[in-house]
Amino acid sequence: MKKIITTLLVAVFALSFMLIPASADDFNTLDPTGLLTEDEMLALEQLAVDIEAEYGYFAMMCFAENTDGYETIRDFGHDLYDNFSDKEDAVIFVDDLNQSLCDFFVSEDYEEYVFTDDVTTAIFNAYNEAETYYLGAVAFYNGVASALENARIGAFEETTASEEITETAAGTQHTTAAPEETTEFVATERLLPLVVDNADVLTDEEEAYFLERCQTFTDEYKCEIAIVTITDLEGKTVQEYADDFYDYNGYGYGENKDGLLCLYLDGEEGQRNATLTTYGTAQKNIGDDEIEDILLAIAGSAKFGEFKDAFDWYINLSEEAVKPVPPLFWFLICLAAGLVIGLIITNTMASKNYSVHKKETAADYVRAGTLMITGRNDIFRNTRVNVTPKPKNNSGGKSSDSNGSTHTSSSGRSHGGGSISF
Amino acid sequence: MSTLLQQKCPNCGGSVSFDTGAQKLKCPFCDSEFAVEAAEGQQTADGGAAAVDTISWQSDTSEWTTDETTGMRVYMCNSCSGEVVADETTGATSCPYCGSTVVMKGQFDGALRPHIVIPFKLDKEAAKKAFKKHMTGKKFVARAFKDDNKIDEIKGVYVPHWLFSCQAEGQVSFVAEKTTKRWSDANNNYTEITEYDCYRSGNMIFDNVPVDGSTKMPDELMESLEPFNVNEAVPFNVGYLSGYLADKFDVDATSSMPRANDRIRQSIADNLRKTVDGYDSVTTIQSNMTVLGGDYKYALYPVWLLTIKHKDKDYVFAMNGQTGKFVGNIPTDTKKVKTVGALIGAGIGVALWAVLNLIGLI
Repeated sequence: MKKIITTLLVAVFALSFMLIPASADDFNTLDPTGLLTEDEMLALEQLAVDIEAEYGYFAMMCFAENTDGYETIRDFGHDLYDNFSDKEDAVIFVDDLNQSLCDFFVSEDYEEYVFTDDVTTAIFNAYNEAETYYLGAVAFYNGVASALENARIGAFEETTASEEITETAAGTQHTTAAPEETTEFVATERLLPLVVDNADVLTDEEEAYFLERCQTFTDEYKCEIAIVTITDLEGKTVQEYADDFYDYNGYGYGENKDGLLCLYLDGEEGQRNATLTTYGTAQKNIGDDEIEDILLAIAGSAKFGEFKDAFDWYINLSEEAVKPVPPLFWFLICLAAGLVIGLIITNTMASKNYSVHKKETAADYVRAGTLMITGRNDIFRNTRVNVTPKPKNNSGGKSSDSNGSTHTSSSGRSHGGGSISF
Repeated sequence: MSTLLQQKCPNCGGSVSFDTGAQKLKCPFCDSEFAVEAAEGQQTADGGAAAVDTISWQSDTSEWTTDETTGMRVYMCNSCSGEVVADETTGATSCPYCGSTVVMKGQFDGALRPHIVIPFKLDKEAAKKAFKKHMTGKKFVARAFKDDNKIDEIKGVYVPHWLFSCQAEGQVSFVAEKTTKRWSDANNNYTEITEYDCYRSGNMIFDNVPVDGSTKMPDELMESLEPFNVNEAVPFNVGYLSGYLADKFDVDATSSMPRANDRIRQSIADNLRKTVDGYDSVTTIQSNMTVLGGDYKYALYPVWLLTIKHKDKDYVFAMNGQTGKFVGNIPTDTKKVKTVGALIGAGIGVALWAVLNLIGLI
């Protein structure tokens, strides 16, 4: 027995040095190999903290690089569970990066009622189908939150919980699944600031300036506006990156997640692109024409390195588009429409007062059956071709909630937006 | 002075009139009824004409000028010897002194004799009911017009019509278009449209196309009363005019032909147009018409008329005395139309605004 205890202590000691960076001691997500950025670590930590605050449940994600000291990943996970979870109720997910193996460690009560085989399978699937480690971790935490939520509302039945998770997991696939079935997986709270300057195109002062402007815009119009600059698309298209960044980092105001995000790509190979993604009321209020205007204005300044001007244009023009129309204007529009309808009604009624009309034909006096066609000839004259331009940005379908074309993001949400390269 | 015909009862000598219910002449004094043809026989036995007086009015101070008497005729009532002044087209009227029905027989003699007449089938009461029904449910009728309502003045009038019958042949040219191909590329949609020159000719037979032969009657009003059923027409007999007003034509057949031609031409064009099928759009370019074997008849059509003056304008209402079809433009209070429209519109506008607010669209 002593030997076993000694072995475990040694293992824990080794783990604390081999796997866990010193700076990450306080994180629920263990990333000793640096797969995640600091912002992503912070975002994931927020998810874990939320789960603990909401459900009193400890959730941990571990990207393990070296499990050589253990026979199986399960042994590793058990040690991790025993030593890092000081709470009775906990779930730990381990991804052995070397062996491409994953495992789940759950407290016994929850294994039976909450994290059933179906539920854990769904979370595994969602994790495996995520495009990045970060998104995989997000899928794990959100899957845990979803399972716990089902348990909270009394849905302890295995089937209900598993169906819910299965539906949620399906949303991580890049399909056009209905948003209401899939948006459970996006972050519920914003995980990152309104200005994320990963490409470092803004000075600290400018960053602070735009942070304040974005916050003011968000507060005033109840529509979140964000600026993100990057240097690498991580294999995605610019529109996919912008949509996913918006969805999985919890951008958007209120429950409806209304807002818009401008993604500026300063690629290493000189590739420069500005992309907008809109959602909710921003998608409704900012149509294709407005998006085109905003992108042109951004490109006009950004291509000369004038990023402050570019993002000022972005915020100013977006403000014009989302600024609510004065209530009196809509009242007058309704009144004018009503007057037109009212006058049509009364004029239609009054038209019944007039019954005297000239007869244009002698149709009443044609002797029945006497029409005889004596000549019939149809001769080709010419052919012409009419050309009509296609509507712009019609790759997505029109939505009743949208002022322009739409597309579906990987989370299953319907976004508006556009892109310009320069 | 013209010849005046007055239908008299062979039993009591009273003035008789045509009864629409019995379709016979009826004496209002002794209730005797007799056929219209019998009255004609009586006229012949009496010498073919009522007594004719020749009176020459003279004045010491002034005389009717030629201009003043142009278009005017003076008749003498056979019952009371009262002088009846009528215009030159009046064929039947009533004596303003004794109310007797008088027919100016000379207006329908010789070449002026109508070929056929459609007798009244509906009486004055039916016309009054039809007028009331016509006014029922109408909105925004000028209030003053309702006050001016003089429904008792509705009167039966035989209106002269020319009836044209012919075989007409038409030749019509059309330009027709149809979409023959659609395709797209990345930027544009393309539609190939092919044009054809289409030609059609054909003939049709028209029977009794009517044209109003009286300038007193608005042509549109008479055409709105159509159709009349000419199959129910009978050979003209002055007896049918008793109890009604009647006019002789003052627009001759030649002058009426263009209107008949227009209607016939349009009918042929419409029918030939229907044979140009299989196209998305068809435009008429030119149409010609040839009339073969055309003839015409002079006929009197029964019409109940009511003229109401409102704000210095005459509003004429008419009912087809055969079918009961009632027409007539009702003076409309345009200010009321706008005011009520604005009030209804304001209500709709406010309701619309409230609903849009409620569902959160604005």
